[in-house]
Amino acid sequence: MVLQYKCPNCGADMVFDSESGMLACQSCGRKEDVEEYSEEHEWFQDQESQHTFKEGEVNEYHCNNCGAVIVSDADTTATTCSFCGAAVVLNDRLTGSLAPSVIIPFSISKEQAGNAFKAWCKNGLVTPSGFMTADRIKNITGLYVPFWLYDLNGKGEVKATCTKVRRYTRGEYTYTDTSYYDVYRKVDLNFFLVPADASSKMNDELMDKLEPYNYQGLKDFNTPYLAGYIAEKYNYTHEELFDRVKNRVEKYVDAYIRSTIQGYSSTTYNYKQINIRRKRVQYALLPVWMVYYNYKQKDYLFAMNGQTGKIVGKPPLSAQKILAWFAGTSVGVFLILRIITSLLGGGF
Amino acid sequence: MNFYRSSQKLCLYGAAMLFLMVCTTFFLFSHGVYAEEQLVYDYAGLLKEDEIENLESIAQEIGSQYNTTIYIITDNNSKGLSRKRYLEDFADSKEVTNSVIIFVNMEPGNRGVEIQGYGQDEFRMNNSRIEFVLDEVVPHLSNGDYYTAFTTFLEKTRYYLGKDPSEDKVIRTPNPNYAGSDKNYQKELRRNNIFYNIWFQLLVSLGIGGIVAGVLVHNSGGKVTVNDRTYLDSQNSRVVDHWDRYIRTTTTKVRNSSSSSGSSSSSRSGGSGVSSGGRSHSGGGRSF
Ligand SMILES: [Zn+2]
Ligand SMILES: [Zn+2]
Repeated sequence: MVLQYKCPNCGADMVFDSESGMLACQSCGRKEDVEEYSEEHEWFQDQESQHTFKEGEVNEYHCNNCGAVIVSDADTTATTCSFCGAAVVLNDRLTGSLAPSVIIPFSISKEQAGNAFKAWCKNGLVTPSGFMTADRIKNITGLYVPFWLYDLNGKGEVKATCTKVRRYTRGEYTYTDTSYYDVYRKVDLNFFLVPADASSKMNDELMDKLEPYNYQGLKDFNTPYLAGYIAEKYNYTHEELFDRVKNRVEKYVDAYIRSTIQGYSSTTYNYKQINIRRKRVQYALLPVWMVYYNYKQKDYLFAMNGQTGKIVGKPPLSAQKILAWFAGTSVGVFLILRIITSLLGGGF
Repeated sequence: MNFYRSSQKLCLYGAAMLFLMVCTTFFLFSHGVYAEEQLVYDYAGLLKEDEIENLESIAQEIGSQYNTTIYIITDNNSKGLSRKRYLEDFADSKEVTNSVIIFVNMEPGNRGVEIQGYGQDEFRMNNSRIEFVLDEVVPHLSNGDYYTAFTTFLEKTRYYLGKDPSEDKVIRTPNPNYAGSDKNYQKELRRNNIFYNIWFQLLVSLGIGGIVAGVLVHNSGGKVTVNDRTYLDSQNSRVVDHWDRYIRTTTTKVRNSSSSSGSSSSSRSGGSGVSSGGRSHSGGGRSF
């Protein structure tokens, strides 16, 4: 089942507009509210009615505009027709257990993403100066990446022996008083919407660095949000990713407990128990701009948080600039040390 | 640093030796041939000739009685050295074994007195006893009564050399303002401080440069900006139960420093130390 959004005015293709947060017609400029956009406006061809999508299955979808085969892999849920450029949503991959419950729509447009990326490259303190002189952006893709958002409860219990040390001098002796304390903490913490990247294509480390998303922008999922972007479905279930999230949140609980034990010189844990429980899991699509960039015959991939504009990725490094930083800082620090020393009148 | 210091030291050695040689010959000519070693070096010219002779003979007498050598030195200029270093270099040049030395530095703006004990006298004339001697000597120096100051020094030394230090009832701690009493000593302390060492500074500079460059490279790919509170629902999170119960206190005590008998090598507070020639000594000093 292929969904395409047609303008009620002129019949041209509509895409989601990040600026207004509405569906916008690219020819006449008409805007439609996503939430109120009713099914009757959707013009779709019921290819195989009641078809339920099977795992790993590659269906052949056809563009309703031009009839061309829509090129997609098994994970794609939204894309554009490679012939006529129409935005298409593969609806049967977004139903049942594959139906996302929430989405953060793009709030940064493709143009803004490109400009922000260029500005970021120019400011690169260790990137080559020639890195952004020519327009070498090969491709900017707006991608909705599947995430699981976990609401979790973390219970933690810690028993510890802590010490306070006091030093003082009486006569010719220095006394050290070490006071021991029996310390106990039990915490009940709640975490909301801890994200875990559910796509096997995305680099987890890269995705973690894109955080945080501002959850004020979280909306109930609606297919028109995907119009004009690429979207993927999850590869890992929330059960499969739970360990990853659990490890992460255990550290948060641990850090919380540590922050409540204060005013001691030393803390030794005797007992620690942390339990993470799942309260609710939501399937979410989060916006990412992927920027493919070519520099000196090498491709570089950058990701930008499609909501906040934060950029991550490995840029090319300039050995010269790194060396300059290293040498500059070293010489600067050395001179300062020398000046301080000679002012104090000690050194040679 | 070591390199600088040792070369500088060599020069100082050379100068000091030459100076001493010249002075010795001068003395030999003016006093005729002395069979016994010179013990009073009045470079500052604080004493009359008969006073010097008197002091020499008392020092000689105490020295042979207690198997030690007592020196009295005065100078107008310590050549940038601290009193402590000046005395250490003197002791090295004399290759002393057992020795008690007093040095009065009349350098303008940096007047001070220092006493050191070498060999057996590191214990017989320990830091504590030196403080007692200084108590008696300094007032005379302040009054400009140098001869009395030195005779007092000799008599107190005679008194202490004849007494077992382990029987001392009152032990004095080293002068807490020791470093402050000698401008040159403060400079030397800084020079010996690792933070003033040029190689150390170079290493630190390179280290900081490396860290800065490393952080830039590391952060060039974006950095993690979430922390353990980012996803915390703070309104629905709390400490359910907690206590901090006092159990007990243990106390340990450590002796502050070598105020007593042995100015052992571990305690180098106050004026005690080791000369560049490797001579360990007790010591103490004050400005006046
Ligand atoms: Zn239109
Ligand atoms: Zn088409």
